[in-house]
Amino acid sequence: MTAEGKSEGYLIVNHDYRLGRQTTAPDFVFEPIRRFPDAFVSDERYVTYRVRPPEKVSELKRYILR
Amino acid sequence: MSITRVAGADRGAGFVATIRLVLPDLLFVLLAVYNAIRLFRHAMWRDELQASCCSRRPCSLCRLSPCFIIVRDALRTAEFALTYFGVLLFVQLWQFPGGPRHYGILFVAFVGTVWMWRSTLPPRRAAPSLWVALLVINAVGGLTTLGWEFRPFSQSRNAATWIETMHLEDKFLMGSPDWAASSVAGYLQRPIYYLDCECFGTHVVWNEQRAQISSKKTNWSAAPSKP
Repeated sequence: MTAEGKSEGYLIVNHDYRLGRQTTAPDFVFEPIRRFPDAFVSDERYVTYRVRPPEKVSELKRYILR
Repeated sequence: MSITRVAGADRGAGFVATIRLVLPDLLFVLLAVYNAIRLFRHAMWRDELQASCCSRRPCSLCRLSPCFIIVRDALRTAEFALTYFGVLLFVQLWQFPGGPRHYGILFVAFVGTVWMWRSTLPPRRAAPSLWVALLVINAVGGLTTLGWEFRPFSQSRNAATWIETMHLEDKFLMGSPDWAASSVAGYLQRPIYYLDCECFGTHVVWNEQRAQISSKKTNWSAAPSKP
């Protein structure tokens, strides 16, 4: 994301167990926003994450609490 | 009106018929030779090969025995064995262990072998009970699979629809693994940034760049809370 100059992105993965915070990019927060669990093909059950820097999450929390 | 048989007129037809009979076997032998050459060229006789052949598939010969028990024909069993070892060669040459569904071709070959054998028998002869039992087991498996038709086969379309509903289709979308996320990219009709190759794409390009990046160790912390 940094290389692409993006401050926010959406990550689609097929297993959620491997995702929390990538140690190679620890400055990003992975926020699960939608899960698609029920499928015959186990590899095509998706979880969508919102990926953003921590400060943006803080801004969002401040906005919600205000 | 009389029909005069021209000498040698059916010679060509006989040749074509012979070729049609021999061609599948010929192609299979050529493929086997090609695989064997690749095998030795790439020096694949390593420990992995022997280990996978001997430990992961210890019953290779046992799996051929039902074929012989049913057809009682050495030639037909040998044909099935060639198919079987061809599949094993493919697995070893391309280092592709795959899943159980990838070996379904063996059952198709098995059905073909028994079919060819039964075509030489009198039409009213009953099928061997072992063969019927195997078909019944597979039929039950097929019905079980049919039951899954009431559930979605893949969630890729639903995921893509949801992304469009949330108006995220123009956002920066990433996917991993690429082979799983590529179906979502297909439904969205736009490229996704694949973490596996660190590149944008729709379909997966199985090249050296991807292999090098994918082979790097990626560490992930504990999974986050469920949405």
